[in-house]
Amino acid sequence: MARRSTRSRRGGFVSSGFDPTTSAFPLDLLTQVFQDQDFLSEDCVEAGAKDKGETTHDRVPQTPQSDAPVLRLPFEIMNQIFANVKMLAGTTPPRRRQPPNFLAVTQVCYSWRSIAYSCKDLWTDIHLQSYMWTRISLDRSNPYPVTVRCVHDEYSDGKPPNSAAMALALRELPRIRDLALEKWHPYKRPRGPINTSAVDTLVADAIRLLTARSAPLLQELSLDTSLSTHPVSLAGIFQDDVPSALCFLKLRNCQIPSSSVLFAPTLTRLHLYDCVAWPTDEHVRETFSRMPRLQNVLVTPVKFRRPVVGIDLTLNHVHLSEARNVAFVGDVFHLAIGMRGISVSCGCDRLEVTFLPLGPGPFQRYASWAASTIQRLFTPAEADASYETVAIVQAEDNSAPQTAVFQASNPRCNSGGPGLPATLQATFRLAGQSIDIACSLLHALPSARGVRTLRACHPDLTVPLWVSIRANGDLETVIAERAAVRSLVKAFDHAAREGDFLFPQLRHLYIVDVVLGSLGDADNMCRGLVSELGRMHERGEMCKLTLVTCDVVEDVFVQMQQMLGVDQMERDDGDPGKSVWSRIESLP
Amino acid sequence: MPTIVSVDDSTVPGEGSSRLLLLVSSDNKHIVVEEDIMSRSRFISKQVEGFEATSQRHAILLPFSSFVLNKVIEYCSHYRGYYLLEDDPDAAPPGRSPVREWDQEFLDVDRNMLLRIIKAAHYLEIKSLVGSCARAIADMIRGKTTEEMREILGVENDFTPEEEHSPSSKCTG
Repeated sequence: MARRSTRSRRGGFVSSGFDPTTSAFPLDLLTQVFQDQDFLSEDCVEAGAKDKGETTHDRVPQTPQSDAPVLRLPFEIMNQIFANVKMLAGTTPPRRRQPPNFLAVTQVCYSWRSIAYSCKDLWTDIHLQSYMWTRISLDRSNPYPVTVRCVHDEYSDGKPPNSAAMALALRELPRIRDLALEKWHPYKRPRGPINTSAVDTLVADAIRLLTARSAPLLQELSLDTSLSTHPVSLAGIFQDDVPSALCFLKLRNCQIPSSSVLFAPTLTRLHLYDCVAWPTDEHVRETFSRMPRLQNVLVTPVKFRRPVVGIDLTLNHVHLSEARNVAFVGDVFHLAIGMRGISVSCGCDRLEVTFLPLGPGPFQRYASWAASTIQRLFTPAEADASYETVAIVQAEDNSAPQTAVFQASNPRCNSGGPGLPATLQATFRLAGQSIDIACSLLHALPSARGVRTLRACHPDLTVPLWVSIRANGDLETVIAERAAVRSLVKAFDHAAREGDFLFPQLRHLYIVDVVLGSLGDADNMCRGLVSELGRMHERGEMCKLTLVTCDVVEDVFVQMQQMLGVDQMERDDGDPGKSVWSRIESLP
Repeated sequence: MPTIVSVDDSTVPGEGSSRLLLLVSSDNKHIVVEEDIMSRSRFISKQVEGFEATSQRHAILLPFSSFVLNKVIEYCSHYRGYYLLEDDPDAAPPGRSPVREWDQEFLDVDRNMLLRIIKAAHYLEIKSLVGSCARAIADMIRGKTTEEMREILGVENDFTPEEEHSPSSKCTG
């Protein structure tokens, strides 16, 4: 058989630095193993390799390659394309007996295969689903740093992770940059029964290896252990004589060592999920003092050593001096008590607290707990500034319809600005009470007084709540969206009947995304607007109205124009599907 | 290396408030563009630095058509004055190509045009455009079988018949 010249096969590629004829792992061997063998078994792989007894060198193609434009792209570009293919394929590990989707690019033609083999992005993210895949990935990715993940999830078919693959990967510890040993993905629990003990043993072995050997490149470490079966001490990983580049530590179901202090001077992100933490405040303070670069903290949910008020709380009397992004998740009661001693610096960019349901309870108590918790999370002495904008909205997460999000922000609040987190977000998942508590924060938080702009988008926002918001008399801009519009218009009517203004300082009202399909809808809305804005105009106040709406038919448009008494409303068709009327400087 | 030719002063307006460059495409079309617009191209920037060392004005000859060049200029014009991380020579390269809505519409062109744009962007060293094109091409072939990939990108199967019928061909096809 005649062979094509190497030149013609590689034509167009600037450089690859890879010779597929010397490939250590022929692709068809790899894929055959994926398809035909139980590739968890090392023996099967070895046997397959011996049976084949060939390399790609023996399989030189016969037909000349076409002059397709894509084959003339430089190597660097093809590398980038393949990296994107891998990225678009997602991080889901391959199902058992199936090769990863992105391997299809190695089957297109000889040139693509050679490039793919030397494209490190395809091989440096290793899932420990099979010994063979681990071995091939480690080989092809050498000498680049790798990410190793062992996630026991729905794709594992209830079988424990491959310990041989784990041992093989950990042999390359010096070049592991990210290591994730997790029992299951948080949102993908295994379908069948899970051998928890085997997973824990595996993780424990890995931790022992981490303790015994150096991992100079390790930057991210994610561990999931079980408290009941194999309590694992993490202290060995964080000895003060071990040089470390670790900057992200994620622990789930872990017991933070009580006898020693974690030493992680390079750590910038700390995420604790369902962890039992230190028994005493001294350990807490000491540990956080040894994480001077800590910028991102997530604790969820907050746990206690003993569920007794005031004793041995998880994170107490801690000042996160460098923290830029802090998040806590827990029930309103435990957060109120457990977070009582925590403070963040005035340079914090974002502070986020999520309150989980606690069961039926008095609303006022929940509200005051929530407010006090949030107040304690920044340094009160520096909180003489206030937020400019507050949003009370429904969470975009459709799975939690009864969620209300209170978000306060001030663009001037940053590391060089006033002593408040630039963004303060409180999420309430308290059925039936979320919106009430979110609204009450507007009054309860000293830093939320004097707010100038309010954005409201929540279906449960009622007239009484709008009236309650009125207590903040400084609102100059109100943005009412979707479901909040109707209640706002009713609130305007309500205020008019009392001969008062809902928002005396109002200068700009946005009505956004309200659906006005009929003359009746437009009539109701316009009457409400006129009652407030018209009277303001009579008083000589100027208030600008901006309507951003959709599905408005021409008749409704004309009627609104007449009722609002404006000569001209500009229609902006720039945004398809929406008609935007703006520049209504005042109501005559 | 690009060909640089000396040009007459009357051809290239170089004095004034904004400096202008003359780009000459492979089909000999002369396109005058403000230097600011093309500053995203590291290749052009390097050329301009070279110009300043001499008193003569220059035009830059580029090895692609005016049609492609105009598309690149359109991209650079759109992002004029914008900071894009990928084009920052001092920033660490991002791990993945970011998704920009405008780019997706801009690159909604046929396969050959997309390949021409990415080659031109590579030549001009506009990393953000290379990244967006790479993502667009990856998007074209993601989730596709080997045969579909060949069809989409006009690539022939040059494996041997043995390889073609080996078990490996089944696993992705």
